[in-house]
Amino acid sequence: MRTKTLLLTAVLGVATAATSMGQVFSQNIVGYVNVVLRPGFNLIANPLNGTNNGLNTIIPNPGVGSFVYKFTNPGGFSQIAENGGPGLWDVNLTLAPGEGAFISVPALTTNTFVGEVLTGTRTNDIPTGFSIRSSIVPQSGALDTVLGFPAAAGDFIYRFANPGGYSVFESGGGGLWDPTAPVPAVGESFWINNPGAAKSWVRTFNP
Amino acid sequence: MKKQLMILAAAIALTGSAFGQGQVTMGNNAGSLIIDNFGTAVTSGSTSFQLLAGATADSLQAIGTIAGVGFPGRIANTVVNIAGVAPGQTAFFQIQAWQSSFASYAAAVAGNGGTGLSQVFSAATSSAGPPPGTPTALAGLFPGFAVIVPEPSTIALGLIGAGSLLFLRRKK
Repeated sequence: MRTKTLLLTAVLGVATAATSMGQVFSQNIVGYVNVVLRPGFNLIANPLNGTNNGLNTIIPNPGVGSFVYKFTNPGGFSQIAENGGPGLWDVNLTLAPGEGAFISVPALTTNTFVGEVLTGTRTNDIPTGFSIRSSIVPQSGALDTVLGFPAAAGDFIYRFANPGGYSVFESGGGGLWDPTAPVPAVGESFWINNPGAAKSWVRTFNP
Repeated sequence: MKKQLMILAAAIALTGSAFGQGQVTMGNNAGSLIIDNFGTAVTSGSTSFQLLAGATADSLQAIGTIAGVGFPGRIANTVVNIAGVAPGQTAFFQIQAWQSSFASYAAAVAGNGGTGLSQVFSAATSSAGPPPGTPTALAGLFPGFAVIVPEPSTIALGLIGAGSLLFLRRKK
């Protein structure tokens, strides 16, 4: 998946409250990320937190006949949505940062995700067995050393390229990988097969 | 007209089969390590692996690329498309191993290099989807095996035997 990251950082600096001591400001980092969707299947992630993270707003116009498949564990691919036109999904599934899903599109297109970068300490729950996940923060890098994934021996990561299909990565624990640590792109999700107990992927991001 | 339709149908079927292949991940796990003559787990650069696969146990043929050693005793995980087997269908497998100093299993056998073979086993390939299922992991579906280098004494005995036969033949 070719991801063009054009993250525009804008400090909104909106005054939120006025007190007798003065004003309190909140700062949000907002921007957009372009993700290329190729005809057929793409394993995608929503890199930015939108207003509601519903498909109608985050992927409004992928092409009529596009499908999104979300995987739950347990449950499998039990959540499916079909696009019938601009801003019109038959089921307005949500895709929050940290989650992932397959999208199939009929023709080459680029989706622009718009929203805010999630900051602070965030937790991505990793169940036992298979799940589709992504980095909560819009950042590319080695999954464990850069993105902070708690890789343990026996963890498998499956990335999906279009074209190319699957590539597989196995953690040996202690920073060892066969063949190398996976480096997912911004806007890309991937399969995790966690043979151990459910665990948390905790990320603290304070730029 | 009928002929053209049949040709078109055949072409579509061929195209479909080319894209609709079952996938597996060739690999093993810590409970099925690949070892050498001395019972030591094979190490990176020492051993090569080739997956044999087919729709039946007697139609196995080499498929996919040659893999090396990943972690000690472990085949480097390699995703392989199983031609002729649709996603979700069961296929049969066997894994050849040989000393990496030889180009192939056959060359290692011919050159008295170290070789090993897994048992034949079967597994359902990746699910048909949609969306595409992850490749079926072959790890855990077969026991570990040894890559045996023929003992020098065995080779020597073979040479002596061959020499004796030649000698006797000449004498006659």
